[in-house]
Amino acid sequence: MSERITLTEAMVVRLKRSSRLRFDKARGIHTLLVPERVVVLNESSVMIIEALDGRSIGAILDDFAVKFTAPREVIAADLLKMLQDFTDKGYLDITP
Amino acid sequence: MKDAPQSEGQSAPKSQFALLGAASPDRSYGLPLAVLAELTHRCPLQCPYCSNPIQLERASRELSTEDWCRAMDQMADLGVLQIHFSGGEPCIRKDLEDLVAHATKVGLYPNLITSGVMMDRERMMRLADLGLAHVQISIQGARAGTSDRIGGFKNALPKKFETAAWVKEAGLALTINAVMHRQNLDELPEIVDIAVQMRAERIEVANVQYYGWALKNREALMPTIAQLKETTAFVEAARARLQGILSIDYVIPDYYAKRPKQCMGGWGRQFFNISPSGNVLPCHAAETITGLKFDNIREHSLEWIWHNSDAMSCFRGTGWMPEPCRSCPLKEVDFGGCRCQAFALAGRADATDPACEKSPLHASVFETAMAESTHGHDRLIYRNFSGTKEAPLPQKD
Repeated sequence: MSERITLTEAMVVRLKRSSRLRFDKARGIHTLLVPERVVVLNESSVMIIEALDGRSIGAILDDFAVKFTAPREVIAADLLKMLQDFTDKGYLDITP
Repeated sequence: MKDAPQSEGQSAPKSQFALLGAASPDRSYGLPLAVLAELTHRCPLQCPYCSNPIQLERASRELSTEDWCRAMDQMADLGVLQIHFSGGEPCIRKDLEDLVAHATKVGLYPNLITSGVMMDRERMMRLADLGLAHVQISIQGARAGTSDRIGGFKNALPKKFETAAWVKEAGLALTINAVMHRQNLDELPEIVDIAVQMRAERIEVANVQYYGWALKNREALMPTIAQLKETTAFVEAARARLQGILSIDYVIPDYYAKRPKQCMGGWGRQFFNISPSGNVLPCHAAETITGLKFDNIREHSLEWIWHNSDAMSCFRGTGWMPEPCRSCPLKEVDFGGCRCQAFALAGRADATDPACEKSPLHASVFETAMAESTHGHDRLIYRNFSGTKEAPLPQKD
């Protein structure tokens, strides 16, 4: 039986083929379409998802810390919380 | 019922789009988020709790590929985000590939709700390449005998395992739909094990909802209160044990509930259903309410129907409610529960849902459930065009 994955900075996460980022024109909101759910995304969540391009979580954090001139550990807490939640819900593919 | 999709054969009336419940300022309802597209009523299985109407549509009345594509164009314009291809068995339609491709083209998120017994590997890979995102496979029982008997179809389980493996091979999301009742509830732990084994992300454990075929077979399906207690405890423990591995959606049986379900997220608020012949329904069971007039996509646009159809608007919002609903503080939480159930049990679609403890019928419904579950017979009438074939009785072990 498989086990729950706890994310670390060395891991690479990507959207699963079944998780689709979509701008909803009718309502003017960004969404992540997943099985039986529509997840409404704010601007920072959209940026995080768009950064899932094959880089490790750590590399994305390095990039964001420079780009947003914010403390890396503050960004890391938010980003890992969101990605762990999406991982638990099965929205992401993870490469160790 | 159901606030979106459904298990094949039965739907789970959850509110899955809670994040997007917002209505526009000038209306009491929003834009539809999801559509259940019942492509056909034809099905190789004969589950006795099927959510299709007793009066099944013949193939000759089914919408054409062009009808469905036009409807999908209109859905996308109207703000629909997800489409659930269901049935009957949607894989019976030879144009399933064209329909999935068109959904992808107009930006709808395509989901396939299937029994999993008619798929082949090449077709699954083709559907994935055309944009299919999610597949829901029904399971009737964990053991071969139960599965064959409830579905009225031999050797379904090995086929379902094969189909599930192809879904994962294609990189798509997999949900197992388990419709539960007295004759299979004891197999739930094994069904959950099967879902994990199939590497599903989700399982919908939905107790049977009693309309149409299920109402006809209620006495043989109603779970005992002991089963319900055991199941609820099992689900709570399994959720904790399987966190991050398998999400479990759980719908308890209405007849034992204290509060009604928020059916469909509210009548005509965020969801509609299109029947095989093109009727637009607020939920898949709405045709059980006699006297409602449904509009058809062959005659009107979906935008017109969403805003103007009598069937879509008659129980929208809270204005139609009788007492004690009208002054209930929860009226905008559950939107009055399920109209089909009110019609089935109280004889009036605008009555208080008897699943609610404030309904005068609540106690008698509970007693009926208790009596049928403990003294009821196990004879099941299969769902098929004849409507008279009986399932073999269960083997007692």
